[in-house]
Amino acid sequence: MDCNTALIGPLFLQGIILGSLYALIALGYTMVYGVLKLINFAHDSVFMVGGVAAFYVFGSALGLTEPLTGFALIVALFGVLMVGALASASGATLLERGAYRPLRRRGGARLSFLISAIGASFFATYLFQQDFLLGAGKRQFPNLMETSGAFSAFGSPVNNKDLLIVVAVVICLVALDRVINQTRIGRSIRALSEDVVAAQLMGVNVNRVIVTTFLIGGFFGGVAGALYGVNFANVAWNMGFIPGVKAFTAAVLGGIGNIRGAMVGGILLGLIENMSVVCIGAEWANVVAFSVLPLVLIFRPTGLLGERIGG
Amino acid sequence: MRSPRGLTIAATVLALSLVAAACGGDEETASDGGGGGASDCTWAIGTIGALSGDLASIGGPIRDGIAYAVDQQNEQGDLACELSLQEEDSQGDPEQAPQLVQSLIQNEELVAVVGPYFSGETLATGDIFDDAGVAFLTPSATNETIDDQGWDTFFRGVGDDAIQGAQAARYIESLEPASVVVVHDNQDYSKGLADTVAKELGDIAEGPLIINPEETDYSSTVTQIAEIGPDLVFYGGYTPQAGPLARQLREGNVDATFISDDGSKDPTFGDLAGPGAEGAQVTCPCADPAEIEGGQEFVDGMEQANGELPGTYAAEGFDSVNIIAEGLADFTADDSIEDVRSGVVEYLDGVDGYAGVTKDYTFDDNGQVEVGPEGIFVYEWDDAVGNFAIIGSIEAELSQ
Repeated sequence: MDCNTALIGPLFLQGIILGSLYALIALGYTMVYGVLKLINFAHDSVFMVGGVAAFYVFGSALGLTEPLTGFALIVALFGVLMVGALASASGATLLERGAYRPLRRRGGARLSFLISAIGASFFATYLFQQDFLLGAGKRQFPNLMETSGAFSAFGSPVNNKDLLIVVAVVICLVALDRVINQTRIGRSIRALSEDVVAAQLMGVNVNRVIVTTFLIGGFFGGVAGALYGVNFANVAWNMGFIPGVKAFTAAVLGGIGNIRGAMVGGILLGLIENMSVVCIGAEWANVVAFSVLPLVLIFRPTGLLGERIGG
Repeated sequence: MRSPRGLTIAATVLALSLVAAACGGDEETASDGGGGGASDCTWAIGTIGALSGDLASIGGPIRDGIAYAVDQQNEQGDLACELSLQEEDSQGDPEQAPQLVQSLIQNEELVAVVGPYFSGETLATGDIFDDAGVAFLTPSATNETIDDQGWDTFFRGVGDDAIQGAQAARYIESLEPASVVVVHDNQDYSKGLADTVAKELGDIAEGPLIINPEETDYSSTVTQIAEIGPDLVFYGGYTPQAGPLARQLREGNVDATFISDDGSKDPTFGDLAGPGAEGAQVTCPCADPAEIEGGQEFVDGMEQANGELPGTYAAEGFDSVNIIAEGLADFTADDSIEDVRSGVVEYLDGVDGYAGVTKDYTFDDNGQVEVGPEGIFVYEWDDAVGNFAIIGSIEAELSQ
C-alpha cells in the first residue's frame, strides 16, 4: 500500500464538508426512526425533491443565470435553501400521509412500512425522471455564486461554497438541537420515542407529533438537497440514491434514533470515506464507507452514541 | 439504481427496469416515404442506443442522422421496399440492451441494425446479432476490443480507441506537459481509452484515478489531482461525468488543461462544466462534416429537416444507413428476409471504398473500417457557439 501523507490535510477538510452534508440528510432517517422505530427509506427522494424544487424556482421560473454578489446573493441563497426545505418538508408530510399513516391506521406489520417506503421512494424518483417534471438527464442548477477561495486550512484552499455548506449545516444542527431539547414539540417527540403508550396517556397527540417529525426531517433534507444543487451546480432525478444510502449509514454509525449521533456519524463517515483515499484509490471509497454498516451492527449495534433521541 | 439495499430493492429494481424496458422500446416510426416507388413492402432498419436518460445528449444526434438518412432514402425511392426505422432506447445501459436487441431481431422485416451507439452495450449484445446473422454497423462504439470478438456480422464505421488513444497521447505530448493525470469512470469504453492513453504517455502519466459514474461529488479525486499538480488532465468517459468533473477541477483551483474524448463531445458539456468548460478539448474519430468536401450539403439538409445542426456522429449514422441501402439495392420484395439479411452482411464484407460523407468505407476482416491516424480530430470548447469547435486532424496539427 502506497500512502500519500500530503493528502491527509486536504482530505480531512473535504471529509468534514462532505460529512456535514451526510449529517444533515441523516437527521431525517434518525428522527423518523426515533419516533416510529422504522427506517424511512423514502428519505432519499425527499432530499431530491428539495434540490429539484430549488432548481425549478431559481432556474426555470426566475431564470437566474448570472452569479450574484453582496446582499442579493445572501437573499438568493437563503431563498434557495428555504424553497428546498419547504418543498422537502411538504414532500415528507405527503409521504407520511400517503405511505405511512394508512398502514398505521390498519395496524400494518413493520415490514409493510419498509416496503411501502421503498415503493414510495421509487415512485417519486421515477416520477421525476419523466419529461414533464425533470427528465432523465442532469439539469444545470443556476450558478448563483461565483466560486472563489475564502481561506486556507490544512494546506488546502477552502472556497465560499465549502464555507456555505459548513455554516448552513451548523446553523441547522444547532437549531434542531434546541427544538428537540427545549421546546414543547421537542419534548413530545422525545416522549414518543421513549414510550408511545405513556406519551399518549400524558396527552401527546401521536399523529401530530409523527407528522411534525417527518416535517422536520424533510426540512433539513431539503436544505441538504438545495446545498447539493448550489455546490455541484446540477440536479438530477437520481441524485438522492447515493447520498441517501450514505446518510443512512451515517445514522447507523452514530446510533440510529439519536440526533447527535447522526451529526457525529455523518462527519465520521465523510472522514472515513475521504481518508481511505490517502492509501487506496477513490474507487475504494464506497467499499470502505459501506463496510462500516456490518462492522457497526456486529460490534456496536446501537451505534456510537446509542439510540436515545435527545442529547 | 444500483444502490445496495438488499434483496427487496434488487427485486423492485428488476421489476421496474423490466417495466421501463417494456415501455421504452418499440417506437416504430414508419417514415413518410415521399416520392417512393410503388412499394407495398417494408424493410426495417433497426437502431439502438441512448435515446433517453443521462446520455441522450450523445445518443440523440446519432439517431437524428440515421432517421434523416432513412427519410432521404425513401424520398429517392430507389429501393424495392420502403425503409422504416425501428428505434430501441437502451439509455446506453449494457444491462437493458440485450432484450431490446432480441426485439429487433425478432422483427420479420428487419434487414440490418445501425448501432449500438456505445461500447458497453455493443459488447453485451454482439453475440445475439452474430447468432441471428444480422449485420450491426455501429457509427460510434469505439472500444478497441469489440472487433476482436470474432463476430462475423459486426461492422464499425469509425476508428477505434487504439487509434484514438494513440493519437490523443501524441497530441498531449505535443503540448509538452510535465505531468498528466489520467482519470476514467471504469466503464468499458472509458477504461479502454484511458488505459491506452496512459500506456502511450508512459512516465508522464499518473493514475489512472477512477471516479464512480453514479456520484456527483468528485472532491476526493480533485484533491488527489490538486496534490499531484499536473499540467493536463485526460478524462476517459461521457459528458454527464466529464462536465461536473471539469467544473470541480476548476473550482478546486486545478488549472490543468482538461482533455476528454468523443463520449464527452456534446453541447451539454458546457452547462455541466460551467467555468471549467473554458479551454477544454476533446479528441474524436469524427470529422466535422462542414469541413469535409461535399459535407455541407448534408449539414444544410439536416439543419433544414431538424432545425439544428447535426451533432456528433450524426454524419457517421447517416453514412451507415446509406451503405446498408447500397447493399439492399439488388434485392426485391420477393426475397426472403433471411436472404436479405445475409445479403447485407455479404455486401458490407465486400464493400470497397464506398464514398460516404465522412470517409470512404472499406471494412477489414474484423469489420473495422480502414482509417488511419489522420481520422482522429481534436476539438476545443467554444463559449460563443455553445459547442465544441474543430481545431483539426491531430495528424495535420502535429505536422505543422
